[in-house]
Amino acid sequence: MATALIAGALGVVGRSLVEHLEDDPDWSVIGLSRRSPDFDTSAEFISVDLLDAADCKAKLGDLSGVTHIFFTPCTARATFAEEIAPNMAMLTNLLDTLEPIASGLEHVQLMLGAKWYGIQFGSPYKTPAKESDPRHMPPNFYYDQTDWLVERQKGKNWTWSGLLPHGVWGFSVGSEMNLLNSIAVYATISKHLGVPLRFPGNPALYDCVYQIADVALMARAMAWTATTPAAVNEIYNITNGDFTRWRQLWPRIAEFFHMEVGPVQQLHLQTAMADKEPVWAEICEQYQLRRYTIDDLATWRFLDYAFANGFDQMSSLTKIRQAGWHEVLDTEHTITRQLQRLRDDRIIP
Amino acid sequence: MAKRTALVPGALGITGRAIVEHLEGDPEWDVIGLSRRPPNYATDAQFLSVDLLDPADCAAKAENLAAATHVFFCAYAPQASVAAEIAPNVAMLENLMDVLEPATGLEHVQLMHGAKWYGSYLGPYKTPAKEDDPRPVVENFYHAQQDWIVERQAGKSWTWSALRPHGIWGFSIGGRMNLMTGIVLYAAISKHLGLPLRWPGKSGFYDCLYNMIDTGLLAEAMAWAATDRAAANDAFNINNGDFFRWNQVWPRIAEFFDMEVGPVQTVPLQTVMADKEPVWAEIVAKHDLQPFTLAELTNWDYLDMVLGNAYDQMSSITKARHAGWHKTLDTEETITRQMQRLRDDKIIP
Repeated sequence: MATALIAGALGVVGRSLVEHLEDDPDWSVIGLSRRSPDFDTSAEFISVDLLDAADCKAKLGDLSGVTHIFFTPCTARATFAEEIAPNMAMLTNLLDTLEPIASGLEHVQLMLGAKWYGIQFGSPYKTPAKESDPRHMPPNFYYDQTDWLVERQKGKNWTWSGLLPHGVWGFSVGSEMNLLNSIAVYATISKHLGVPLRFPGNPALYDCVYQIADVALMARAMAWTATTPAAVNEIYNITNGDFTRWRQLWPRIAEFFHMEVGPVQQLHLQTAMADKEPVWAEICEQYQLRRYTIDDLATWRFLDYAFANGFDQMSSLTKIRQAGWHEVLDTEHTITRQLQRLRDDRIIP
Repeated sequence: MAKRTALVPGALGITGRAIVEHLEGDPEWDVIGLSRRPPNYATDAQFLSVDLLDPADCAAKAENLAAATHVFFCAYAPQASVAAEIAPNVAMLENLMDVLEPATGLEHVQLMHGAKWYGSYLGPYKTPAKEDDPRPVVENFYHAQQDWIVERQAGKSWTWSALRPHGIWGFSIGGRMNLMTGIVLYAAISKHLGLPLRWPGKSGFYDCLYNMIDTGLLAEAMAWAATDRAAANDAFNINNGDFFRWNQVWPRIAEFFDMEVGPVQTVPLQTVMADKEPVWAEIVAKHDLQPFTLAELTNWDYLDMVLGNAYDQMSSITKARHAGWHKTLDTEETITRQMQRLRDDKIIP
């Protein structure tokens, strides 16, 4: 019997892993978050501030049964350099608390991302990106976290891994980055206002190569990597395993909402959506949706950033495939699965 | 398992040779190669000279062909135009099937097609290309052959498959379409003349996405698709399982030849290589190579065509993966394997 400790359990990836493992009789699940869970779960949840070492000791100091740590939180700051200290602190506080007491610790997994390759600089980078590519010019807290964990693991019985997803596609509330929610809210409001579904990003991006990582697949990949001896002590790119272009996905999304596809019209969404809370409230009322605000769901700052990047964004999955990971989703055919979940959960009409 | 007999029309071409070499050492397979010319490589396979365009010649040799359980149809009759290729290439298939079908042991017929199915040679096309994408407006013999085999197979006990590889990377002598042979000869001659290894294709193509399949892997995929029920009666894209850009692979080729990478210099190879037979003869003499001429080894107009298509060329292999095909090669890391074979065989210095 394994015990998963999922730090950042309300985030887009963390909650998916909670859902994946909580019904598995081989796992018991402990979720960590500052907030209490916003979804039905049988997992144990502990409210803890990982930035606070004393709080970690107080709340987590008796979790001696933990076997697998899935570390998914990240905290944004005004500059990349400033992100290092708090993101390192969360990781070191957690490990400093658990490592001495969890004698059965088997694995520590870091949730990193394709920013490993410098996408965040908004300029083309070498694609398809491979894990063995030279690092970009630091700072990047992913590098600090990984280097620290590699060093910390030396000579230990436990193993580590790092996953570098891109285009993470799944639901969460109150995240810094959520592609799915943002697009779903944008589409819903567009429809309500009687406008076609126009791609609001950089026109060049519409035709660039892109990739998606469905969170259900992500959860399976996380568990696989953490428990497969052939895969441990490495970083891996992870996505659905195919490539697509927004031009190919957008009509599928429009079809899901019964909308027409309009021409590309680039918008600064932080500006264009700033006055839309009343419209969203109207939609929630009309369709009896769960009472989330746009601010709970959408992350316009993130979407403005992600949709400004008018260049190919591709991660090679060859390394994880050669380690034995064989799952692949056809993104065009599965892009609406997570949208359907939002509809079923009455988040969108 | 009963012993299988592979019948390989077009056994001297790049794909036919690959499957012959893959199966001939396998105790579970007998191999019969068909070609008009005698074999130009060392092989234990039985070879028959048959003119597939001639129904009478096929009928005359029916007895020798009757043992076939699996047909790998790699024959290709080039013609002056795409339209003109349809009739003879369907006729070859039909003539063979008319002779084979009365034999009761036939289990599978595999067609060897390619990304031209998607119009990859016509201009920019939808990528990544998927098997069920609408056909291009210009029909070629791939479409005609597949339509013909689907109809012919209806109600029969044998099954069919079709593979659509792209960027086939391996050796053949006098093949109409051989990317690798052209590139290595260009490199060897450049080196002999004291030139750096300059990319001779369109400059845009150097940075575009491309995919390739090593003939060793292709042969494995051919055997898989011909014998796995999950692949029966369907068409599959196939490649190494990754994508790359020539600007990533070109330095590996330069390194293999111990050359400097030069800047892009687009040249019409048909023109600039037209006078190079004496240079090649000098290289052959100097390095004691097998006495092939350039004309025997390569087809510069094919290389000009391939290297002149300055747009992304990508085939999705998600369908094959969903059917259970899980192999993947890192193209950058393996690009020189087949080149090393040429060096070992004293084809190139």
